[in-house]
Amino acid sequence: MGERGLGLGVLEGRFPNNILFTTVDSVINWSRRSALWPETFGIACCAIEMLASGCARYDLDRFGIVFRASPRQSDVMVIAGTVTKKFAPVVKLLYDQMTEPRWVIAMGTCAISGGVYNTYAVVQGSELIVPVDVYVPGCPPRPEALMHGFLLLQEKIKKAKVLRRPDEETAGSA
Amino acid sequence: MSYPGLSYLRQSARTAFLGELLFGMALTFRYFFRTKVTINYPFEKGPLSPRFRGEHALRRYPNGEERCIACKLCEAVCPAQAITIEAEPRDDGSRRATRYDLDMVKCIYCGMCEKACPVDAIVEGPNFEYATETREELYYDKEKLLANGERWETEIAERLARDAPYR
Amino acid sequence: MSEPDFRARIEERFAGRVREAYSSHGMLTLVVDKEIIGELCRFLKEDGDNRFDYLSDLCGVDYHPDTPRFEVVYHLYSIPHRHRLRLKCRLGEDESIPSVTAVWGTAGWHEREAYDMYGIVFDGHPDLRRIYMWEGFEGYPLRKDFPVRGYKDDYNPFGEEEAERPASQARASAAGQHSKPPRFHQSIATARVEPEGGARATKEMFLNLGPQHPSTHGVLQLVLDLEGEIIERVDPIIGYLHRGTEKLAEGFTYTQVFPLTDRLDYLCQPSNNQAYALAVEKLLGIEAPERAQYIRVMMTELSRISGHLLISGALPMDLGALTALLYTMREREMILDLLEMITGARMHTSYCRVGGVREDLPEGFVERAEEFCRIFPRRIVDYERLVAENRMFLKRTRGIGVISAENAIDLGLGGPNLRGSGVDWDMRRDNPYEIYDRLDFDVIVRDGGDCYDRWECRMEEMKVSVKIIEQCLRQMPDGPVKVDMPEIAFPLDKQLVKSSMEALIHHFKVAAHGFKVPKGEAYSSIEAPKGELGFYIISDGSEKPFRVKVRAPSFINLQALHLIAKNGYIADIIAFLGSLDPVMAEVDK
Repeated sequence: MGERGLGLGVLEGRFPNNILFTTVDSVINWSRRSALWPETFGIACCAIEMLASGCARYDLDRFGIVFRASPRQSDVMVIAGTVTKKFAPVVKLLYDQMTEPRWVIAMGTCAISGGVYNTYAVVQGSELIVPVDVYVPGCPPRPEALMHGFLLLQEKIKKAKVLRRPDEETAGSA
Repeated sequence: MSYPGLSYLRQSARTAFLGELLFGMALTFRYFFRTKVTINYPFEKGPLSPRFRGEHALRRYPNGEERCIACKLCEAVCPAQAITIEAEPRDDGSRRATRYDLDMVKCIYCGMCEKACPVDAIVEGPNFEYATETREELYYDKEKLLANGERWETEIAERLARDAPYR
Repeated sequence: MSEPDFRARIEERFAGRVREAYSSHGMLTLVVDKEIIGELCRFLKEDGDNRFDYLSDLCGVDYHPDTPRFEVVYHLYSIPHRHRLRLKCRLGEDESIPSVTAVWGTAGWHEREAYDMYGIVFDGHPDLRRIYMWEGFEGYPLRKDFPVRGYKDDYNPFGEEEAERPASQARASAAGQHSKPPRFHQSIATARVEPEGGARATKEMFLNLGPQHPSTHGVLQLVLDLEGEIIERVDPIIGYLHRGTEKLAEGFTYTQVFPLTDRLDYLCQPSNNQAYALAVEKLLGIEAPERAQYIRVMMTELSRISGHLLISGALPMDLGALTALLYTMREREMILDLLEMITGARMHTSYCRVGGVREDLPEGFVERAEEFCRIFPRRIVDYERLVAENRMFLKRTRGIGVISAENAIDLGLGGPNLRGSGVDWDMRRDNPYEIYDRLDFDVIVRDGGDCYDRWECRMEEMKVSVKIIEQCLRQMPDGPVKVDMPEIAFPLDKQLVKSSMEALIHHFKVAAHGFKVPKGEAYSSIEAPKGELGFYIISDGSEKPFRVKVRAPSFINLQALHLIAKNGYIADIIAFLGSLDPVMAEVDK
């Protein structure tokens, strides 16, 4: 799928793993995971559960998650629903339009693997089109399951090495 | 703006003094002081019934013997063909499954496998928080399902007991 | 007019062209020659004694390897006289059949679908293009020699090898054997119509809306032909969620199709389940027990409230009033809790089974449901206070998107879209099924036909549904919830399987192979929240259906868009869509 950028261009992955850059990285990661803005990308039934998770009872806004309509303004693409072959170029187009750093959550059985729809018209998994970071299974996953998926993504972002060199061990760790 | 059914005076008053807009805002303002309906996930979770269809598990009998006899009814009835079973006689002669793969990424959580199983081996448990970062972790095999069964057995048994009058 | 007289009249008028006339599961069926279909349909629509003014469904069937291979089936309904008729025409692979779009406007998209799925050509159709599959797709998916998994490509590695594609699949003038992959901008190119005279004025432009758009209620693409802000023409491009439900259903047993029906109208699942169960029960000639019918009706009404709640909140949200959605979703959560209590899943319930429902209502449900019925009417008053008199909402919906009653019937609209235009037809009252004839309820009709009337119909229908649920809870008798036929349904008491040999054998047979349904065909429809949801099932005597056709109300409702959007503003397109309430999974099947 090509190189996955982390959004900082020439500064990425250049600095040693010492206390200064670990702290700066932790600040960058904290700010990124606390304000994940997903794209309103509801395709099918999972979109309704995504909508429910944004509404009053399971409020996603408490996590800093605000839905944005434009891919240019969003960080996360939540693929909620079945991706058909006709729709696949659109998914790719929208993913390409997102600015880095960007992540993808595949929500629901259909988005992860095509689900029960192993047919002539359905893509057997959105990872055939875009790289996926978190898989949230369920048909449809409950809103709490989606929130669990978001929390998992936040954990993943927390561990990311943005400024630090990715292959080096952090100084001081055994 | 005209409001049919109201006298001219009331219509003018409503238009000039933003009647229905203020009424609406008063309604939303009242909700400032009422109990909020938001639940504080991850510390609070929504209500679940004993029939909730979540993560699968393979159960055992109270004496530790695994229940599944590899009759392959669940494999036949699954609409998404998510279950793959291979069976062989065990050392003591009984029929058991050597391979029980449940593809959680194909499963549509319809509950037909649970209904079809004659020995209550495969059940859908109450867990729904098993999101992962890789797809391979979601291909459950027999060990994973049995481990699920051990972890969730108390809850599953309680749910089945509550639902038993209806099954 | 009685059936024998009607038959005699048709046979007299179209002497020699009516091949067969028989009655199948309560519906008169005429098999006619394809040449007279246009004239026959016009006669049936205009004849005073019959007045078949509503085309419910038009579909194709493939009987390969029999010849003639295809059959086009028309289901007609008469709103004044409340009776149904089925017409069938056989035609071969390279033959064409006259189109009936001049008689009923609703036939437009139905015929496009039959062309897309089977390759049947309709003469005289104004715009015969593919509707679900993309232009450049090779093959006709619902034909019997087309594999359900398609042919192998990058997107579906489970498909058949391309080399095994039979020659008949590719079009005669195909350039190359492989399907061209879908290209997004292709769909805009095929929607454009160049103006006569060639040159385009500077104020005219094409605008592409969707398929990813916050207000299109799903994956719908609209290509708008604009003159300034006024819409000259709108072309909805659908098929972005076409998943092949009907093809998949042909390979499933009758019970396995229930989860597929869930995923059609994903806001009101129990109603889909009920419609399909009724169609299969019609074929089998059985009826669910009384308690099961009450439960099914109650679940459908709960889902009706749930679906209407979402759109009643989504329409104001699209127009800018976000608060309304948050309030309606709060009530919807209460309903989803009730559904989860009964079925185990908030959304995809697959609760009905052939011959009844899966399980009985749990303890404590009746109290929770009565509490809901007590609280909910007060909450509707809240929504009305927020939205119904709000001057901005009124400005954006009053007088916008007017559909006259004649157009509504001609286009085959249903549900609140039809009743909002003044047509007093509700299948629950006029063609009652299950126990609706024992319930007392009003039918909400409004005369204006604009967006506000349709929205108001939905709000009032929610109040009516609450009354129906209360009556069901009061009148529900005790008893079994599944028909006592072990060769069709799992027994109510699973412990029997562990003690009785016969029960065990039946259990294995039903679970592994399903049950055989006698050869025949049946069309059964219900008043779903979006309109008339019908299932036309043809059985060949085996455990798997031969053909399942879903008459999806949202598919038909969306066709009305090109009529009401003409000469409207761009900003009003959002109001039109919200008031028509399309659910894309149902549109695209």
